[in-house]
Amino acid sequence: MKTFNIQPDRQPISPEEINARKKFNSLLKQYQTKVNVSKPAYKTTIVKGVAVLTTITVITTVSVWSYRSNSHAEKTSAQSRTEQVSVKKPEQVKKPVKKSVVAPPIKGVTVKRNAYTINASKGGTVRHNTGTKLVFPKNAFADKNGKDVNGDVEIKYREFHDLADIIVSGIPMRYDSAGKMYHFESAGMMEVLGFKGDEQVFIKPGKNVLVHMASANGESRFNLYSLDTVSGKWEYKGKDKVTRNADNTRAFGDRSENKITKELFDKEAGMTGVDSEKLEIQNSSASAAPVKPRKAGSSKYRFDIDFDKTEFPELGNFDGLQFEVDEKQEKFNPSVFKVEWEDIELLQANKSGDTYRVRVKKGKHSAEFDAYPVVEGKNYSHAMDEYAKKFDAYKKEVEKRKEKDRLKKEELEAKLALYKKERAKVLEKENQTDLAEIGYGNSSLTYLRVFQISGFGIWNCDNPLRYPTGRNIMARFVDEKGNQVRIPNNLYLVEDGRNAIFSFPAPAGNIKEFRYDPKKENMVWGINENGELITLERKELNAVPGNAKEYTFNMKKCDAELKTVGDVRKYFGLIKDEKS
Amino acid sequence: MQSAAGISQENLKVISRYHKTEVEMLAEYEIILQAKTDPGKFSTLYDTYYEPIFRFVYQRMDDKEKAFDITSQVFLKALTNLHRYEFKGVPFASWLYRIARSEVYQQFRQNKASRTVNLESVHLNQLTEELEENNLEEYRVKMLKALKELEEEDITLVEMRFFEKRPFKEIGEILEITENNAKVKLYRVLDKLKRKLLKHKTVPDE
Repeated sequence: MKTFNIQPDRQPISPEEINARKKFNSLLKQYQTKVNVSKPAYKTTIVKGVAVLTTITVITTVSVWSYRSNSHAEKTSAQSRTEQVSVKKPEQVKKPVKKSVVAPPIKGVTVKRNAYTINASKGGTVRHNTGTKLVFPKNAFADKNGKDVNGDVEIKYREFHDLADIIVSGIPMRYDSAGKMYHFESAGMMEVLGFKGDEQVFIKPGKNVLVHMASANGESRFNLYSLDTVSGKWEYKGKDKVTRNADNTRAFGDRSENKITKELFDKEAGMTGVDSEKLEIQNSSASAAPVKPRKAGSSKYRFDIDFDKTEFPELGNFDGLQFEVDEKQEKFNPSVFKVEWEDIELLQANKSGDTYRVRVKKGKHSAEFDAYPVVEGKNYSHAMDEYAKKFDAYKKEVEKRKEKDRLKKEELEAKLALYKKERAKVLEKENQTDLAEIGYGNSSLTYLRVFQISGFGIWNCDNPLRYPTGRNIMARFVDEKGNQVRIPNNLYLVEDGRNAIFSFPAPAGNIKEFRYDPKKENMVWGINENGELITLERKELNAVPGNAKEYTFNMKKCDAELKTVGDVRKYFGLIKDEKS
Repeated sequence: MQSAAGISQENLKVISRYHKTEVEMLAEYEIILQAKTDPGKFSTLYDTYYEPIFRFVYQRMDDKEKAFDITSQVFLKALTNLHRYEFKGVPFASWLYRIARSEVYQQFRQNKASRTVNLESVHLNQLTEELEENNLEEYRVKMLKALKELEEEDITLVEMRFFEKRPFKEIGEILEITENNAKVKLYRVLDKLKRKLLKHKTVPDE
């Protein structure tokens, strides 16, 4: 059966003509559109009934911040800071617990957490054995439902300073900045978690923890980042400040075993108490101003919501309160008003409190838009009168507080000066301590990196780096038998003298562009498909001929028994002789 | 410029992009893995295979603009479905060719059109030589007639082997059959062609 035509000797087409039609950006745009369109969105809802939302009566429960329930310890970490999700009904919390990206690569080897106790109502200071201090303000904790936590809270803390710490931690050290991939060089990293019994607790919005983290690096080129352990993304949080760590002699040892006098401990406790109080002043200064009423009529989309006034006290005094849609927002699609939605939620939208996020739902479909509260007619005049009174009272209260804070600060500064003087005297005696006896490997934590954190999780003082330069070859990695090694996660390159880990995705054991600096002492390591540590001997990288474009490297399976971070440190040659 | 094998240098370059050493294939797979999470990384593959895929599509149709459209569709489909791609030890191109083949046939089905087999005279001569026929000019017309009578599946094999100069291994990978099966099938088609040519020898041209 003839299903084709035969055409001989057609005019040939040149490669130039073909390649001139390449449009990758256009392809990418089409792809993104396609991907976005395939996601369910309220725009695709089939609307049966048409009703305007103006008179829908809805019971609205509002989220303040509620948190996913997490059990203790290893579920861990930064699943906390990213968890400010709203909860309307208990069943809405039934989301699967997402897996943390933090996966220690060497079974059974990890940096241990130290546990400390803080009184939630009074606040207090955690003092780690490296000289790190964490100053918690009073009333800083909330549980997963957003309720204040009282009584003792257990703080679990650990920190990571050298390559061995970072390697065993399994914390990803890649940083995506506007689509460009970087690799972190760390000046110190820490994980801090809070628990009340077995339940994880959270730091309340507006409360900050003052951190003085011990560090071996005093350079100012490092930034502060926090890790979202679910997405694996680092978020830039600003810069830290660097000071000397007067307490560095106690690096990495049990404080009680070191030659620390009780006298010094007491003086320091006094100082950090002052820090805590100062911080409390900073935190308490921010008092919310009353919301100024807006006159109805600037938007054609207006509706009522019957909400729980105890959840929104700032709206409680407005009679005849309605909401108008902020039509300027890009997200708003007027077709949302053509749907008879089954459910509506009112959420706090912005810090100034004048705009609220409204979420509507019907079946699987939902939409969100911003709206602001309005009143009209006599109600507006009445609301303005109320506002003027409240604003006046607010101004007076602010002035009063400012004066009180100023006096308190003066008093604290004087106390601090006294403590410092006394502490210096004690330190003079303490300086007799043998540094080598209790030091941290070859590096001492001579500095303190000072910053504030707004939540529990993993925080890192980092400098983003690109891949090393010098050599760029196509690399193939094989095992002792010459078989290609399979590496489910990344292959890592580390250089002596630089606290950085460069990651290369190489699931099939190949790296098309393996970049390294041949002038450095490099190490390569990874975990194979059987979960075994494989490494490349340092001499292997040095053996690559200068003109090689491709090279096959023989990875060696680790035959040493690695039980502690110290073992790892020794195995990688990061320390020559350590008592661990 | 034509090579000794009767295929233009440009086409040789294009076809050679298919052939990969194991290391090259695995290196390509690394790019695919990266592109699965970062679609921007797909640009390397797009650059490498745009021309071969276009030529594959255009070989099977007359309309150049339509061929460019289909080529774009092939890459869009590939990128959209990249998360499903699994490395099976064959070049990534074979997956792209399969998508291209499917897109081309879908186009014909939609338009109720027949596909085209484009060939150069030199390819026809080689095919005639393969059939151990010496009088090329005499058989040219008869060969065209015989080819037109083949089933679609058969002409595809002839086209890939003689007009596109693909090795059996690659033909097998694109058609999802073994290399040996591709060989056996093609020799059966050549037998069929021979028989048809014999028939045309005895039946005068209309």
